[in-house]
Amino acid sequence: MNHATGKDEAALHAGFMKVWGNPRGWRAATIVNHTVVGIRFMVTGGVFFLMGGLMALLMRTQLALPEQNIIGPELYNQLFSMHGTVMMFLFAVPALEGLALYLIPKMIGARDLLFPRLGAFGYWCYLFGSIILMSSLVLGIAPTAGWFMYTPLTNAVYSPGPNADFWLLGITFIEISGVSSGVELVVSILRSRTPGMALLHMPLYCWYILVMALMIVFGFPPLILGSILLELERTAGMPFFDVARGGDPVLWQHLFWLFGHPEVYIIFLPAAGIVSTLLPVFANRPIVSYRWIVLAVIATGFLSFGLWVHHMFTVGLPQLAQVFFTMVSMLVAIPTGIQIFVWLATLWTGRPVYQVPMLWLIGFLFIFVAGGLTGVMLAMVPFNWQAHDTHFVVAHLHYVVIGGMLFPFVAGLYYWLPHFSGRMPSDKLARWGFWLTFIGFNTTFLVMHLTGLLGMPRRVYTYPRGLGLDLPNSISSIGAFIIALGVVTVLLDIALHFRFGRPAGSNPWHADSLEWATSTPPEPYNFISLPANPTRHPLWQQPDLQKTVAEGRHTLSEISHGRRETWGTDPITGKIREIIHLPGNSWLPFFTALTLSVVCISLLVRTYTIALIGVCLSLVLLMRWSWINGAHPGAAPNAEVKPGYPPLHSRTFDGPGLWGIVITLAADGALFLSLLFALFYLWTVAPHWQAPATLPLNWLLLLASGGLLSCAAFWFNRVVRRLRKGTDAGLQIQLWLIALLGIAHCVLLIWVWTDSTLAATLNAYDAVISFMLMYQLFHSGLAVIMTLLQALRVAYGYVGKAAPYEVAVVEPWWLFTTLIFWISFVVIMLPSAIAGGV
Amino acid sequence: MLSPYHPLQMAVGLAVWITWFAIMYGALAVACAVAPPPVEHGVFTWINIALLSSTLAVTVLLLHWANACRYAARRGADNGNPSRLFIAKVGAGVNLIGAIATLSLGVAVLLLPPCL
Amino acid sequence: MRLLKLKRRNDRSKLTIKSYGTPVNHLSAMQAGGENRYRRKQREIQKPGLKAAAVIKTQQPVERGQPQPHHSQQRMTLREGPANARRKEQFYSPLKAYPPAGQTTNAFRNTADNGFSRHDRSVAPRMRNALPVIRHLASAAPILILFFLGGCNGPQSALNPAGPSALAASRLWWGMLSVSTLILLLLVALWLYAMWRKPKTLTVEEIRRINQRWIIGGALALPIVIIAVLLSFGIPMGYRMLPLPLAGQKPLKILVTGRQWWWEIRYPGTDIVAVNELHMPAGVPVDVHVTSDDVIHSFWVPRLAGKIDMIPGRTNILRLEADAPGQFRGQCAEFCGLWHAHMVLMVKVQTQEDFKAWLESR
Repeated sequence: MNHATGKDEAALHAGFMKVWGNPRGWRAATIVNHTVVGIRFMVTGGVFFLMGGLMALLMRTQLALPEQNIIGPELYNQLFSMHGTVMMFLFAVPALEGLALYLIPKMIGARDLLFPRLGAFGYWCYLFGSIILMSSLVLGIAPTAGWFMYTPLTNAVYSPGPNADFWLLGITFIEISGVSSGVELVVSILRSRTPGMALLHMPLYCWYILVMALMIVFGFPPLILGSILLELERTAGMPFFDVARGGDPVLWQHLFWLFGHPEVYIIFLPAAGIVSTLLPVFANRPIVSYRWIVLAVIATGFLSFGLWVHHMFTVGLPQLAQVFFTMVSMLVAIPTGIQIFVWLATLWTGRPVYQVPMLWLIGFLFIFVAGGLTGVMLAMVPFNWQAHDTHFVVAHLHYVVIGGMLFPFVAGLYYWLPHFSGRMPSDKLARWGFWLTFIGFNTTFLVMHLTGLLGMPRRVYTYPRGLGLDLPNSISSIGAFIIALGVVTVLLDIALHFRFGRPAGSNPWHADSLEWATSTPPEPYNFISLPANPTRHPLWQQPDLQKTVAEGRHTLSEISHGRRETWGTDPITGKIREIIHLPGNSWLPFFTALTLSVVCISLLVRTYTIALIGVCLSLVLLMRWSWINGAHPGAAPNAEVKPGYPPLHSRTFDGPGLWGIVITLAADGALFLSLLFALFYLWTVAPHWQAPATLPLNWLLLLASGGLLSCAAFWFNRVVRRLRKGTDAGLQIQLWLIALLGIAHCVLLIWVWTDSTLAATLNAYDAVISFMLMYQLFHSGLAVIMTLLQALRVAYGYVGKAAPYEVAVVEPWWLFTTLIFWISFVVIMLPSAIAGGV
Repeated sequence: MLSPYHPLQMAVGLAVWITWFAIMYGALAVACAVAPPPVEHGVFTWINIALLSSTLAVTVLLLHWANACRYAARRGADNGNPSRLFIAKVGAGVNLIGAIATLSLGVAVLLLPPCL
Repeated sequence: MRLLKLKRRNDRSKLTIKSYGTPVNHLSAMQAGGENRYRRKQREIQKPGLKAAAVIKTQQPVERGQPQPHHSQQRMTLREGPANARRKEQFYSPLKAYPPAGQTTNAFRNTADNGFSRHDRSVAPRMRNALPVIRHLASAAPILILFFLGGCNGPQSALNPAGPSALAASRLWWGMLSVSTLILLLLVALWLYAMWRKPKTLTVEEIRRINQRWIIGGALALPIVIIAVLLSFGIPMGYRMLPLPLAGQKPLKILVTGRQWWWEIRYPGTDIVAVNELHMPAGVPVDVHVTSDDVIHSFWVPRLAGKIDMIPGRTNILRLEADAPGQFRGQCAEFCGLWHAHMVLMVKVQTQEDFKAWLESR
């Protein structure tokens, strides 16, 4: 490998900038670089945070005194619904994801994330989705049914306006962005670490983000499914949640909280990751027990999927089930406790220095532990029955979320400010900002516990005199304005530091992790050369790393080929497997997201022809997107690499794309599982559930359709196996024929459907089965389109023996499609099999 | 069985737990819908006994795995490669937490009649 | 047209708000099915329950003299019912739907005058003319004292229990609060001490031991002990709150149906239908069977027991028991739409004899 010394630094930089540089002006919309995308996420999230905060101030003004009518109930309901939605979906998740997108490649010594265009696409989806959602507030038709959107309040009868549609469509759009970032982060962390960085050397922050990203992958789909079902109920009248027609409103609550509780940990884990990153730096010693932290993070990730029902203790569920969820809710205190005590031990045995980020960490500890303790209280069912849906819960959740997310996030912001800007924040203003926020926070929310126990329910726009609620509410309102003052001070500090901050130099906090080996602020390529890193604290062991990296003394510093490259390494050991070449700047993400937002808007105003045109257009754009890959002239037509280097990933069978599709299918599978859950839930619980005693469709035709699908998938698998052996004879014609089989399968499936007696608007069972068929058709259709595209690429010579990678990427899709088909088949046959009427 | 050094050891214990939990939760609902024993029968009904035995079975399985991982980590301590050791150690912890989580849910079964 | 008609009817009938005078309650009585029948019921129910003074109070000019655009609009919305989609403009131009400021306030004042304004009365008269905020801030001083002496004793306070369930929950709360405070303070103190104590040089072995001590003691033993203690108290406590069959007696059954935004209360075996006012006897367990006719509501009378959701298509049961006669305020706790804040329920607990008499006088 390249250990040549004394390369001309400036020449190297110029060469890299030619390949990696970011355009200016209106072409800045084409940028896919993770540094830019990450900062965009954080800044946009920050703007929405301020908007959400403003809503909170309006609400606190209304509640400051009893019986006020400054803003009436209609606007108040819009405000509290949007406040929750904005803070959760538009601020917390995107801001933390933005930080992760910014930091992860730098921490693991990569030049970019592995799906840069997907990252940019995620950002544009988020931006457009948020704008659509916020526009509803400006138009005065914002969602009014809370961020939890319980049916029947949100169905077409009780929310006839477009208010609820804004939420359902906008949030689904934004969640697509969340899932795409999640997939990107998982694959990047596993597959693009710098050579030698084994799992056990990864910075702890990467562990947290890995688990968070996996949680997004499995946690968001239930809500995506729920939103699609509810939107179908609203627009097409399919009664998934309507009791009278065999649905059940509680199903929505399950789907929502199945997402909603993991969501809390999705925003807590990355924040805790910030704590685990900062504390050792300021305690001047490594974290005392790396393995315990990893264990705690993994355990939190899993346990958080087993406690959603503690949001539903008053629904009237069976007692034994409630005790199960009480148990898990309390068990989750153990991994959290492990982290807190490991942090304590790290401080105890280290030599702590007292800097501004530390202040925010102390604030975090106090507030978050208090929130955790009230969380344990709320897990106690008898107490929960009193405190549920009161201001006690409002106080609890703000302690957990502000304490567990905002405080560490601001700590991280201060810590990485020198990295973003190359300058240090002011000490004095920063302290003022902290103390104002901290005092304001506790003024607002500490007393709010009492407000709730004195009998103030949540989501009321006013309260009468004489209930003893006047004073605590006034105190809370005053506190809210103190928080606002604190936030303004912090923002002022950050704004001023760009102008007046003293230059930070490299590694101002004497940190240990690789992100400080870039220049500050970083260049788009991060590292000129990628250092081998078989240790947890590279910068403590090699303080001159930044210099040697910039001088090109490490690996992969060639740039004359004009490709954006980074190492593809083994997920466990970090040994080099291949060179991953990354796509450059592109308009495609921007325009695809734009087209999708047109689809979103046209669904909102219910002009379905435009929506259909939009869908087709975005499909074309996506096909163009996947066209510029592999051996395409726009990607890596020339596969030559330096002697001794491994091949480009597009010339192998095991690139990031394969990992990407598998993780995406995991999300898809979570969605399918949620659908199965919905079906079986309704079956056992819905009061008016009716499953037909005879099959509503022609099962022989369905069987034939499945047979065709299985043949196609099997054949595809054979094609890939032959490719692996190095044979690509007849590849093109086989792909065409497989696609043909797939088309025949789809035609049969459509036939079965149109021929069936399913009455999707009359009966929840029929609605679920119809949705299953739609879901199947969507997957089968996409499988066919992807196969056709591959066949065409073979014809163009982009895919073949030399570049077999893309065919291997499509294979899991076929297998998944076949799998869900047969599961659906069994499920469809089940009721009549039980009734004995096949 | 999965090798104690297999990377999936870092997830499998808790994955088993959550799968078991989902099945148990579902089975409880179905059992109470199909053949609910009367509340007066108290805790020791066929449903609770079935749940309890599944709890014990899963706990024993997870403890066994945890022990296998721990043993593997200790055995390989001198000459093993660090990645494999790391996986075995974390795997032992994950399996152990899975076992604790399973067992503590099982305790609930001893406290309440099933279909209340 | 319809709007006018309703308004006139409203004016004609001397009946106004029976219990707590929120506009919504008023509507509700009117709109519940065949109006006349309900109205009569209503008047009958109210006689024994309310003191004369309260009745007079509720018949303040707000109800009769002033036009009530929002009431009627409101009712329109209600009347058209779930089957027909409601009229869009009401939802698209929310500002029109706001009640004029005075009305709600007055309505509320009625509520307060119905015997619930202990705190306020002492303060309000003196400061009446000052700016509201100043008045309020100045009123803070006496309230602050009340706050610490007995601030928990509000008429809707879960910390002012008047029945065994609420008492158990409030005891649980005080217990958990004291333990939690202790843990929080201990942890923060440890953390601060760790930060500011003089660093020591430690060997690797010592560090390992310290870490292990913290993790095993703090992160495993402490939570497990606390969880075990909590559950050993909490599960039996929750069990006792359940509507289990009782030996020897059958609890009185009361049916409550939630509607946007009012409560319909029925007593099985009688044809009594009450609105927003629940009569029950003291000292005996009562099973409230709750359900909903439209969206999800939640039945909550904090001084008597915890809450239970009212879900369309299901019936949930909540066991209530009051120690002594009295009036207890309850409120819908699950967000149920525009006037959620005004969905108030009054529980009137009578001695068993009085209750029997009341029941029989129907």
